[in-house]
Amino acid sequence: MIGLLKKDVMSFSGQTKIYLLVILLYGVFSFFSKDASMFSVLVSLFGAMYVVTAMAYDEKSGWNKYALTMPVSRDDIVIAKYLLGALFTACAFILNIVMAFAVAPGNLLESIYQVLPFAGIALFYIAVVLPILFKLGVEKGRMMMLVAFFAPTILFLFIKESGINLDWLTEDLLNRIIPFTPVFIVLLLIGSAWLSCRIFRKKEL
Amino acid sequence: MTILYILNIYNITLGGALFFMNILISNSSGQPIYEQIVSQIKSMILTGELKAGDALPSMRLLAKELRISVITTKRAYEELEREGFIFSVTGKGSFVAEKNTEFVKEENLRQMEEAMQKAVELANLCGVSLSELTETLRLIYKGE
Amino acid sequence: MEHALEFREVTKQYTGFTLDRVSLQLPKGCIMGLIGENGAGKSTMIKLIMDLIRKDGGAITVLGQDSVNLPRQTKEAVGVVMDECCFPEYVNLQSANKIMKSIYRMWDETKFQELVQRFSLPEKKTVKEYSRGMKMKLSIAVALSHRPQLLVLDEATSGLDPVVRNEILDVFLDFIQDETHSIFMSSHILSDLEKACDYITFLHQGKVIFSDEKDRITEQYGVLKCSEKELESIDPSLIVGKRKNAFGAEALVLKSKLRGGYLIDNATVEDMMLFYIKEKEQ
Repeated sequence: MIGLLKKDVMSFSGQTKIYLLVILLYGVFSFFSKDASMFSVLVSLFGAMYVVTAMAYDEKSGWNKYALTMPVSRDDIVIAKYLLGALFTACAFILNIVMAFAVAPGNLLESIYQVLPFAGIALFYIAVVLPILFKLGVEKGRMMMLVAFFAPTILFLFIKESGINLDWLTEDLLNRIIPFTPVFIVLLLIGSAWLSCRIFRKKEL
Repeated sequence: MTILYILNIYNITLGGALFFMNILISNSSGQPIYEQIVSQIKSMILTGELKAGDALPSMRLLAKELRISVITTKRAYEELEREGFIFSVTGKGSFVAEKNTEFVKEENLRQMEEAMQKAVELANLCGVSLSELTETLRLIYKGE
Repeated sequence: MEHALEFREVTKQYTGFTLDRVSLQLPKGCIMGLIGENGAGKSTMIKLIMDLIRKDGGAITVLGQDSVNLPRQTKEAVGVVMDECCFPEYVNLQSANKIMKSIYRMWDETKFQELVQRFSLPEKKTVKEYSRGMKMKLSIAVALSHRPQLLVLDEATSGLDPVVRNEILDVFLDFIQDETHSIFMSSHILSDLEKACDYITFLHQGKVIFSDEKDRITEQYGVLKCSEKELESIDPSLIVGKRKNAFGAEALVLKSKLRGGYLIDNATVEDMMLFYIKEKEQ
């Protein structure tokens, strides 16, 4: 599995260097404009999208069927992608904290709380998108991925417009639920990984 | 036996390519490849080019160098061993057996009979009688 | 002695194509060539060996182990070369080495460097910049560098020029010098198989037509050249297939059974395949 991870991380060198440059530029821009929010979005997005890029490289080269001839199991291939997602989300998280701290130096804990939701969203996205990609592949899965990306927003708008009574969703209640979201995300990821393993085990390559 | 053994190690450790023998295989002759190998090694032994105790290349090396199947070379070596021209030591390889003059004569006689058989077949094919055949044989023998 | 590879009545069904009760055995220390037209089922067989697709019936054993859920140890001992290079395009020699080192316990870095030098593969270029020949050479170098006992090759030399193919054949023949090593290779390039194979399996429309020692083909069969009239006078049971041209006829025959001074050439594996298929078509 380490080998698989290494392979995916290695794809970072190359054309993806451009993205690093973009991030760097944005970093500088954010620092001087004292606004870290756009930077956070960009970095977190990139971190999550990276897994998709890695899957795309695999698909293009036919790597998975090759990997299965090695002492690598189907589950290894799936888990490696989740680990990759977690790794890049962690890197994005650290970058975000550094930026948040640089923009508004002060309470470190405050900075962490500000940045945490982005990590959460990125992991949520990964959990939703990976089973889709394992099932449909990157080419066919693109449409589904866009849907998954916009679905929460559309759902939220729909609820708002439909006038469903949300009074019970008080700030107090939200404040009590929020600490549990990391647990929720972790459970979601585990469930997603289990599902992806099941999908991939059946796949004919 | 120990002296032979040492000589053979010398032969082998000098590197795979140092077998001073030529084996030439023809794909277009009617003769099966393993037979070609057998007859060529045999004649090298009979003429003394290969001496008793000389190491033969391994079956696999021969197969590789001649670009033929290892089953073929194995067959050739088995035949040579069956006819007493070589012997094999497991783990060491195959070596030329002691020359047995009786053996040699027998082999030559066998080949002569084979050639005669062929001549008779051809004679039948083009309608040559026994007396004509014998006459031709006499002339050839004298011509020698 | 267990076989390096064995198929027992293996069946796989697709719509429009069925691999039908395929059986073969590859003894250790030998090379088996798998031949057949495009679509005969060769790649399907190879995918089944590596458990990339599921079979509908029968059993496959690889180095004595069942092919379904091959133990890691067995996978370490099998080197596979697909018909395309499956490394992502950003990989170069150094990264390939690093990746493989982490995947295979038995990765032999020295051997890899040796092969890569022998093949003159460029150090700095990535797979994206490789020619087809270079890609295949890389795949082959990787397959040989983790101390495998069995090599499985799917059209590994197609699309390569004769010089490169000869080089690669040399490497394979070196590999087989160890009698615990075996090779299973599918190929269209029959001249390559003629040179080195011990066994040939001929697959046609999903069925095994012939699976035996290659030399039996040359020994038992020959290509007869004669006139059309002469051809008709021969016992049809001795003829595998025939082909007529404007100036005569050719037929693949069982030459040992054919008496008389006919003009018979040695049969090659290619002859066997072509005459057989031609006969099936008629």
